[in-house]
Amino acid sequence: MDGSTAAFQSVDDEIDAGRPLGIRVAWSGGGAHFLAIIGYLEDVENYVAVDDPIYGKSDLTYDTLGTNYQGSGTWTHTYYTQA
Amino acid sequence: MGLLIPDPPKDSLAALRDSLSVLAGRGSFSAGGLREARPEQISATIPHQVFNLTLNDARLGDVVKAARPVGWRYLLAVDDRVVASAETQSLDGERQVFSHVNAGPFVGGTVEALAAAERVAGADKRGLELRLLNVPAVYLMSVWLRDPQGPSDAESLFIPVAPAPSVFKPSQVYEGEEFAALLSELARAIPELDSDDARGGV
Repeated sequence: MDGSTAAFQSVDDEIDAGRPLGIRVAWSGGGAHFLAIIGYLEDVENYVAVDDPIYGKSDLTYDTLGTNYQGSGTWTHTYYTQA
Repeated sequence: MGLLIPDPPKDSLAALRDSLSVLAGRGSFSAGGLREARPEQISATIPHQVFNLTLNDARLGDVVKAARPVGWRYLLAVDDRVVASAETQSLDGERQVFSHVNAGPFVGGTVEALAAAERVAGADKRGLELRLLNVPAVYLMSVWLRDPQGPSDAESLFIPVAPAPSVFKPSQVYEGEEFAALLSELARAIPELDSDDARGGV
């Protein structure tokens, strides 16, 4: 576990190695949530794909995931996986 | 009178079109229904403004005054079939930028809730404007109907979107006061944790 976000390049590297990333987001005003980054868009900076146990699959910008997931969530922790 | 669908800001539509074009041009969508579609086949329909409510405000039962606008949401249709939703968000409270495309269960739930909203609005003497309330800390999305000509939002109606927390019935219409009371009860059941507590929430 890492108590911070992962850089976009680091996300690329993990996904390319077949390792999705678990992340925690803290909701503004209380509460938190966990989801997984499962992909990124090659050659176009800033787009990632996530799978969420509540909201399902989304394609979103890296910036949105970092500070404004669902209009409220800030990415606080990263959980690296093994292939 | 009917359901009033508001006009979204031009920069929201422009940001949405730009990102959909990038994603559609590469066949890169996670949504299966969009992956095979050409950009010109995808329509952004039924725009509605999204308002978020925090866990703390939900606990206080202060829904209509505390909810803050965070962006605009659209239902994406291919050949008249809704297959995903997409949102733009406010940047610094002003300019709208692309946020995300979603293909999860709230898409179908929104279509069902909108059918209920159209029935309610059709039978109401007022024209009711469509909004969406999102309370992510309790995993609640709800259609929010309000009279834009009314003296306040106190007489708003809410229609929870499936999948909804068990205290709510999806696609059922709730008066504002009852909705706020149920939401407050639900929010108060969530443990209070420090913002840096890595255990998370729900």
